[in-house]
Amino acid sequence: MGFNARTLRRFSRIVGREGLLSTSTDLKVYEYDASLERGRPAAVVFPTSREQVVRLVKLANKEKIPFVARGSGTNLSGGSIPPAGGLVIEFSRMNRILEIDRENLCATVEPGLYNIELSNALIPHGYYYAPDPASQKVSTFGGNVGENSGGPHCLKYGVTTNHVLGLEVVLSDGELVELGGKTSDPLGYDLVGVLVGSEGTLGIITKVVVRIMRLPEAVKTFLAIYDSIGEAGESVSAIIAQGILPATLELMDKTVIAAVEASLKAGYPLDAEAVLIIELDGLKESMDRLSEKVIQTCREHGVREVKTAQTGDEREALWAGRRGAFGAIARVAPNYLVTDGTVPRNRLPEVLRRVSEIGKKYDLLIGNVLHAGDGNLHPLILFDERNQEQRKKVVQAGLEILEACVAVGGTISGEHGIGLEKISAMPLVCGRSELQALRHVKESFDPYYLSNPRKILPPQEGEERGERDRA
Amino acid sequence: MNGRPSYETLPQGLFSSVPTIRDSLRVDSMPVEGRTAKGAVSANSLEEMAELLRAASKEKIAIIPRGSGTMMGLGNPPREVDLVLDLRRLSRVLEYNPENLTVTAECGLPLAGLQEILGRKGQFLPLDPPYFLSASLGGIVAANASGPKRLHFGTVRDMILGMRVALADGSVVSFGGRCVKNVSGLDMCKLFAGSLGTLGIIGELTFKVHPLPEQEVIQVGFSSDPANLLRACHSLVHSVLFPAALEILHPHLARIWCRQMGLSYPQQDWLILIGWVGFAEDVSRLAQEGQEVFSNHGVMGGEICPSDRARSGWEVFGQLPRHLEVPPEDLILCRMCLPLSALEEAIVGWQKEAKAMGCSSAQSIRAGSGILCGYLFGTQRNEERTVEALERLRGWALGLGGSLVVESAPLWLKKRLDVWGPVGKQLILMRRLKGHFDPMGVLNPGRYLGGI
Repeated sequence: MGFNARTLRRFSRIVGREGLLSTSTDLKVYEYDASLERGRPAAVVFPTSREQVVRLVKLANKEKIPFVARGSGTNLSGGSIPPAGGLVIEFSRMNRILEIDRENLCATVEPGLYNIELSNALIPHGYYYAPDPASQKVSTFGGNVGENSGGPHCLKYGVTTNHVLGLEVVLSDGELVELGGKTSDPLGYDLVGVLVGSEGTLGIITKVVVRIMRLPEAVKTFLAIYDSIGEAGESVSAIIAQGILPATLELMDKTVIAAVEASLKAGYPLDAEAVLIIELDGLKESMDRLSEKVIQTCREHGVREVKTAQTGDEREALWAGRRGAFGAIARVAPNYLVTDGTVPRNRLPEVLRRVSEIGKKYDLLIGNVLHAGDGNLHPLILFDERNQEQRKKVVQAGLEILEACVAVGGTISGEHGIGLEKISAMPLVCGRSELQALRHVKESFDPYYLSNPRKILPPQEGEERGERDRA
Repeated sequence: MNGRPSYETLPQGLFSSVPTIRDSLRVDSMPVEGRTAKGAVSANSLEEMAELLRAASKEKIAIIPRGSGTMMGLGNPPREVDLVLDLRRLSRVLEYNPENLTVTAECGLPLAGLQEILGRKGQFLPLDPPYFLSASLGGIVAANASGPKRLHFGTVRDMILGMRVALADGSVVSFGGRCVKNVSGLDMCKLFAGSLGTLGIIGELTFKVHPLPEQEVIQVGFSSDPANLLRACHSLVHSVLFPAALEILHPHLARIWCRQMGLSYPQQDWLILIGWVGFAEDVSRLAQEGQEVFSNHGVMGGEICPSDRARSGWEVFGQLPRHLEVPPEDLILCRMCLPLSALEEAIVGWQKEAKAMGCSSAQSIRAGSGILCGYLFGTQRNEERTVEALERLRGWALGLGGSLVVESAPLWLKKRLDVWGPVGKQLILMRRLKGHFDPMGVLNPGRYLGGI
């Protein structure tokens, strides 16, 4: 279902003809993200300024057209899948760094900017932006804020929400509000905190103010090689129990190692059951003693070998393997479903065992990449989407993994969001009263459910399910 | 008075489903902004509390939650003060998982009590708000209170992993969990932290805790010119040294701090306290570099207060207003949040305005976080000029994207000056949130900004 010619004309009056797509060939490109969901919009617009976004949203609000903001479409839970017959507001033309204010340790960016581009601009001056999702080369600030993205270094430095100081937001009625900013403790309810991670359901972000930090003086990166994934998991808890908070504690299992080595040659041993990438950062004085302590702890937990990256290139290779892990998996199977459960970190070994049992039960190959220090699992369930039978099993296995996480006191998403994909798992963590409270917030911001509808919140009784089930 | 206790005037329906709460009904002796509540009750559980809120909504009875009472001066005077809900009985630690670095406790537990339990396992919750020895967890979170070491460890919003809250409709809701990462739905913990009990009452909290640093010291410097101290702070903030705290004290406050600590410094000088935390070998280097920064910027001193002395140094710091020995009816305490680059001008501006008010003043400056805490004493003689001066300072802060909040003040000032100041268009959103969560307006009515 497309828009009529009059509506399209109105949109093109705002963004120009070159800022509007509406033919079915063009729209097909926007019906997916990195999840398994699909949904075709009625049009895609490419605003170049917040004024245009305001006018677009005002028009959508007037005609009660649902809309979703889109960055690079790297979303892993279907959060950027367009509402059927709705409008995609695409931000690739609003991708500037507006200000780097070193004096006040912050930067202001437009939502279409790629995550890594800010750090690229800062590093020559000795500063950086800490959150580093594996997708950082292409994922945008708007998307990172929408999903409250994490990344390996979030173990020590916190996730996106800990680094966002202010937002400029277009509400679903077209009102432009500025929340937070360069100063501490903005007045009133922490609306910035509520917006971050709201998956575009509360409004459209047009500007982000983030904290920037000094680069650490010293960094040391290790590759710890294990013959058992359980021992790798135990080392993680043991290191942290020592009072050491590494910058990262990333775990990859045999399946992932094989895929990474086949495509990227990161230097991971093919005969290992698991590897940990451990990175310490801080002042140079304590680095040697802490390194020794970390290596010793790994030894006490059955590590086969700990390799230290000797050069910048070696370190970069270790990280390139981790960042490329999801992509490399494509060599093993045409499709994967990545789950995103989080558990108290000391429960990791038992949950990993459970994941492996679930794989066996459904006869599915599951690879594991974990932000292990955060207790955040990313089991990658491999399959071929042309195999309908297998596809059903994948969804079921994914749900069982999430149940296993919740059963040990964990939750159903650590950093990828609920989107469409996990709505059916929401009752695992949210009862009726909690959902009602979420609706209070949703309706305070977006009373007509126009801003990325049907995400996070399951449709209410009586609401049509058809739209959501189109996939 | 006819001898009948005032709490008997409360509607009986309020307690019909919570008889145990009725048993605790009593006269309240601690006035709220000069007004005494009709009575006070104690909650024994979150569920009971939620039931009470449901009844209060029905009977339109204003509920004033109270923990240890350290933050009761924050906010505008409530529109109604009917029933104080005392939370101190909710003081259990419910689950402590040292391996996972998480702890769940009830809202009425004093922070010091929690620290003691965590300390036994070599851990702590890095919060150091004013009066942190007595402040309760729920109060600290509801007020979003913070202290010097926020520079390193962040504020409550960075430490809360989950909470359970009693809502005005009688439900108990649970958000977040015990995991350090969680994006399962909207981040509701952020909404309730800092909401001053106006959306619901926080009953349980789960925090991320930290290992106690191997070493902690305070490095002390002084100078007659606060600009020198600010320049030293600037240099430290932009270094790789990551100080845990940077506090600058006006001579008046410096004298109190030094007296309490048994240190002697020039009486007319400003003081700087640098907090260093970390591993032993790092901290000795940090202190050395701190000394260098001092000498580069004309700051004298550099003395180190090690471990226990550092701890008591921050304790004294947290109690400074109490040590001022100024009667509360004569003390105004304001908090300005500003861009770091505006701090120097703020110090000058504050002094100038204090002069215009014709009163004595002092400041402490959280130089890494852009916060100036301003104290005024002896303003009663000149109410008009005080209000005008504070409005001018607030206007200046607002112009820089900051704020000026009157954190505690005698009632005459609160009647003439909104303690929060204007907040812009997002007030509409805040009012809608309040309308959804507390439609009858019974939770701390009027204390928050914009009449919420």
